[in-house]
Amino acid sequence: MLSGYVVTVLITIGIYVILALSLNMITGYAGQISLGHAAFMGIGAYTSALLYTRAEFSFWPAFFVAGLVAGAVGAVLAIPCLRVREDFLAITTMGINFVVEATFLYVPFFGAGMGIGGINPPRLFGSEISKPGFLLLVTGVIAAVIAVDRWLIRSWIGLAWAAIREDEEAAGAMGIDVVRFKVLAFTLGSAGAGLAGSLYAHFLTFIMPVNFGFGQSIVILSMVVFGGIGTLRGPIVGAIVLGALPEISRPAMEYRTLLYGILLLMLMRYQPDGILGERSLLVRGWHALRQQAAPMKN
Amino acid sequence: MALLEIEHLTKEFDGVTALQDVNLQVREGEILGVIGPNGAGKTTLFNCITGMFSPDRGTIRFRGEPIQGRRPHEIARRGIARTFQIVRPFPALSLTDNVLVAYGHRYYPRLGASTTASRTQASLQACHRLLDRVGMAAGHERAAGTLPLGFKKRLEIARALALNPSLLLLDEPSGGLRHEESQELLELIRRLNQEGITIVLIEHNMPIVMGVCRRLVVLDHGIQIAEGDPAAIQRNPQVIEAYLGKASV
Repeated sequence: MLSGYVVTVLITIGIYVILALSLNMITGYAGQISLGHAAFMGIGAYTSALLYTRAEFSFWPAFFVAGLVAGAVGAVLAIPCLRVREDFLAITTMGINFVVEATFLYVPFFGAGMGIGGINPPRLFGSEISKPGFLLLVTGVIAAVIAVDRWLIRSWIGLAWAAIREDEEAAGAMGIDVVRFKVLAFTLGSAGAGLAGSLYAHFLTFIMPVNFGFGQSIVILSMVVFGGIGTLRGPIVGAIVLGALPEISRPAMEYRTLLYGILLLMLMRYQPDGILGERSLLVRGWHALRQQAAPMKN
Repeated sequence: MALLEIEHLTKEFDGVTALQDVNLQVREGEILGVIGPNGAGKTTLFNCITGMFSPDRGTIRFRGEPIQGRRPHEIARRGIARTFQIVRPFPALSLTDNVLVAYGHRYYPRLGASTTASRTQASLQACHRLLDRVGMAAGHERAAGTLPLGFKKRLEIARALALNPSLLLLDEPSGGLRHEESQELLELIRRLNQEGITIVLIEHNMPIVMGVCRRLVVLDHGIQIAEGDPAAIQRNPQVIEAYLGKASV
């Protein structure tokens, strides 16, 4: 069977998949750049950790409340964000990340620099679930997030997001309440990050403010952009590849932030759709191959 | 009662008056032309009507109800649709999806309804019919960004029609088009009007304006300098002056 180490890596990657998919709702589908996604992961992690360690909640209610709280904070913070446009939105969301991280770091209630410890893994049928069990739980959450993702994309909400991403003013002229649908994107995306944060807290059993800093936000964004922003496969593949990379190569771990920074720059310059976006080299090559193959079949 | 009544409409940008005390009425069933030199405030007028700009003074009534200062989506849902002077289709979306976005206006107001599937047989057929209606019978799955200008303009009209509008605002529909394309568009505008849609047309192409509008409003530097039938407008000295300069009067 899988070794404990491999399971640990897979769980970490799984949590990143949830984070990347949830950021993709905001940045990929609705087209609203966010450089502060880790803040909502942190809000979920801290909500879950506090409920568990201080209010004697068990994992499951803490997990769902973490999603709700992160979603609600996302909705409230989205409102000032929506008054600004693209480049300012990047700076505002970045600022939110710093404020949230500083709040965890300096407010004693949140454990300040010491963080919060003693968060146990979830229990099922009276006993703590094993690591493979936790991996199964993460996989289940990913499946649920994918199901919600597909449902949204097939609905009028997905279409409204696409219109806003393409041309906000034209979307308004087509009867779309732009503010409301943007807030919805931030709410759902932040809720997803909150759920991931809760899983993260109960997996590591110990959280610190630095886990939810700006650097973490950049890591999540890199995964989305690397795989192919605005697609379903992109963020998943991005999270798997960039999540596994530091485990495979030690230098990649040490120079992680630098590496992701360079990666983002290169992608923006040469493959703005990521490696698996509709206009990426790989996907265009795949379509070309299939077209060549098609006449042979007939 | 007029379909749209504008009274004392004034809009300023940083002290520059774009529209000054404009009063006009759009009658149910007509095609009203809005003409004037560049910078006369024609597009600003459209932007005020559709809620993209909030007027500084004055009222805009649609079917007797004031709409000035309302947000664009509210005005669109009431039945005022527009096209843009510089075309703005959703470039990465297919033609069908472009129209579908506007067709969704009946689902967006309620959260429950907006979670239902968008690409149903019924909604897709409705969108294809709208595309057919503006003369785009094929290639519905193409990305809108790849279309030539003439078709982008038609697509914008199809999209506007998906709002089921009673008032359609067309901002220079013939701009950048070849003569034959303009003529086809003129036919389309006439047909839509015969089908019961009231139309306001901003247009630089005088043959089109004269051919399709029975009433014109002339703006110059944000001021409404004339109103009347095309023949009277063509003889109006103020209009001639606005277009050709003082010396030619």
